[in-house]
Amino acid sequence: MPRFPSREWADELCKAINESEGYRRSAKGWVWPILFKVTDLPDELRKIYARGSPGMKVELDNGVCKGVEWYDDAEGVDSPYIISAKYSDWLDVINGKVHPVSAFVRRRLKLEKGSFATIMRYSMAAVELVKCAQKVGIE
Amino acid sequence: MTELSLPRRILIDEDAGSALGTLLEYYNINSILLVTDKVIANKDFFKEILSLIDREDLKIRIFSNVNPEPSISDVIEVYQDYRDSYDAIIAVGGGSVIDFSKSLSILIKKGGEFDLRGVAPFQSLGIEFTKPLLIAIPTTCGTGSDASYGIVLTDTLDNILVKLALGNYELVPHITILDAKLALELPINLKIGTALDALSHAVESLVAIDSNEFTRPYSEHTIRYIFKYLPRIVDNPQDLESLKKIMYAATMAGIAFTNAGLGLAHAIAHQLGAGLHIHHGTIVGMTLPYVVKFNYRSPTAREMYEGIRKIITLIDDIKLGNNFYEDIIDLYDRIGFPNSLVKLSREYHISSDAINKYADMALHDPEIVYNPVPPRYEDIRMIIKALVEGDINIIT
Repeated sequence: MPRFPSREWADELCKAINESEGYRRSAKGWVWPILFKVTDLPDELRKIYARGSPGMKVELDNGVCKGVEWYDDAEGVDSPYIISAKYSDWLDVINGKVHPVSAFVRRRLKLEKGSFATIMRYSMAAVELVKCAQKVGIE
Repeated sequence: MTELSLPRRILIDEDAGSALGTLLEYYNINSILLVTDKVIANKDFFKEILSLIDREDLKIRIFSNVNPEPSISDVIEVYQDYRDSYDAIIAVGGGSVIDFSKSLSILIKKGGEFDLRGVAPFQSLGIEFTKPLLIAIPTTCGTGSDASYGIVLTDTLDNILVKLALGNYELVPHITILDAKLALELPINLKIGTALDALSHAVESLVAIDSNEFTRPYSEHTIRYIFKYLPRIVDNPQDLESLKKIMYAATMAGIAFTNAGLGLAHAIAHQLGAGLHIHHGTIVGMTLPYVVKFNYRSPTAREMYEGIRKIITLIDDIKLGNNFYEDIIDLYDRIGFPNSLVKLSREYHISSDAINKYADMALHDPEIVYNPVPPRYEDIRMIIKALVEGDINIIT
């Protein structure tokens, strides 16, 4: 199982998205890349990513993942949608301890850039995306 | 982290006009925008409220033309004519009036450029502690908008009329005044329709993903009150004591769903209501038992449903059937409410293509994610088909 977060994990996520019928159906119409940023890394990951916040830009288009770009430090990287959260909060979401929408409501996931109006229409796609992340898993 | 947002004050069983007059003086409010609809504006109680709050140094503007199920463009249009500095906005009416007032208050506070479509509970609007205060005086007994963070507005998306379910915790009215006398003249079909809206809020919030120890008592109390008092109102629409309980239930359900979320019945009802022009309470109430049966797949939801059934049976001494969805259908039979679209009208026997379209739209409704069982597209189609035909056995 690849380490989270890492380039390998991001690649596996892309594969899982493309195997998900649920995501394909619920994300019909979503055509924007999303940059997922991970902040407040624990010490063991800080040894790998010495500075900044690592992130993955996932190229999502009508229910399909067209590719991912990996950044050891995603600070300053632009994307139509940017979602950031602490490492521990990502873990809670991916492990299913916290529902992704609750995580947004409770400010544990932050939309740094993008339209809430559009995101509201794709909340089920967000749930399917988390299911894909759960398939990839976390050590 | 769990939160509970609710109005700062709920005035219960008050005479609305007197209570409002006292509050306006107490808060040193000198300018108000009173928002209502044409029907309410012509009611004697509305004129009485106006006379009771009238004082020389109070500047009052009135907008009395809120459309049923208002649209985003309605709000923007009225904002252009009524933008001003007010100490308070007072909404007197049902859900449409209160939702409209919330939306108007956003534009008055943030300016007309603000996109109402982006109102979401995910971030601060920055208007919680700014004037105008929002005071709600509900005149129906179901929407719970007087205690909720929600707004439902219609909009046109890709040339299709849709209902947008929006919400933010900063939109919970500051004060709500509950005076059941204001709902006495409501026609019985609207008393039933709005009460079933409250029942749907309560049943969905009971099992929603953010349901918690603080929200469940509000959900449970609402369900008990609807089962106990709605049949009494149907038997005697002027039964003020029962109407009070239904009005309280509506407000309690508003608190519950604001903090717990709703679910699939609302996600489906928003689409069918907008597409077929059916009153919201009617269509969501009708959808509810089908979604409850679907949600029996979740052991947690099942436990919650069985829990409230025990309370209703043991404490309220009401005889129930085998499961919660049948109990709801039995309640509908008792009050003469149809449990299928076809029973409501033959014209609602919608085609398979239309079912597919509504299922796809429901999948994009923000309420859907709060459902305890995440539905697939095929599940939603199944539920709509069952709802059209009135055959709950279609739900597996």
